[in-house]
Amino acid sequence: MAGDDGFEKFVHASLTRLTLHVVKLGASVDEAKDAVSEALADAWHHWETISSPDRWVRLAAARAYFRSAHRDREQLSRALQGGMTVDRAPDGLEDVCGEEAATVLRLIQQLPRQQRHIMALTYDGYAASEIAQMLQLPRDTVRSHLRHARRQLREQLKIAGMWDDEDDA
Amino acid sequence: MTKMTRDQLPGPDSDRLDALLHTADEAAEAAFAQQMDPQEFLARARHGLVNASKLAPRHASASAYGQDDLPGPRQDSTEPTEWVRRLSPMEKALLERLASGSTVSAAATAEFLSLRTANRRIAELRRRAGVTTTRELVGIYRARR
Repeated sequence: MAGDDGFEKFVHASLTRLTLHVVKLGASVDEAKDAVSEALADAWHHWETISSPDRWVRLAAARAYFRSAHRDREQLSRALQGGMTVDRAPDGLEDVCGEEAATVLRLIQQLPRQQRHIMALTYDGYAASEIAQMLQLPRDTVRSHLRHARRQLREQLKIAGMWDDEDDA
Repeated sequence: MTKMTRDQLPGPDSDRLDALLHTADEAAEAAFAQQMDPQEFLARARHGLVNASKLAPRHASASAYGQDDLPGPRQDSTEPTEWVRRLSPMEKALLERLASGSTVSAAATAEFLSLRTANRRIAELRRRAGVTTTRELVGIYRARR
């Protein structure tokens, strides 16, 4: 297939950041891998028509994860209504990247959906104007979400003992 | 692509917060890099294409740049077996494996899915088909494929 080389290079160069991106959206490591797989399969299918693979695959993976999380919530709700008890499996984040990095990732995961999506894109190097274009939001809204997210993260880092109050002054 | 720049994050605590988050980000990236096998993902992606070329087209990717709302459950109720015609390549591939006698676990492995994902997709198919057992689901699929 034409473009096979380009696709392969893209996967090699972007796979880790893509997976980490989906983890920041709230996914476990396995869920992130599944969402990235789904997005890459779609990307491979449409590769020759995709002009900006980084953006395209990030958005496709995010949507794949959000769809899957939505289904999980519905199934969980039905299970609970049916009287079942459900244990959420551990996501293995600490095992993969260590206690401290996992704690920070979990704090990002606990932000409201839009905020964590914008934070994840910001940490992948996208400017507010690019994020606004990708998520079809006004640029000021993106900046506002970012400001709130950062404020909340700082508060949560204090609670987690990873932010020293004295340095706030 | 560059990492986040200072001008995106004004404020007195920006440097400290950036430093802390970037340290965690880099640690996570380095750890993830050791866990990921690009060849496995390439195989999964290409496998999806092989299925797609002989099955019904998918539409999900066309909306990758779409609005930020979450899609609801699929509506496949115009005919009792309408869901069979609307199967995605991956769903169809899974059902093909089950219809040929594979276990869910074997089908998941063959389709490069985790067992959890395979079970979730099969549960979703049972819901769409309106049946309660995988045996019924596969029976309907065999009759209608």
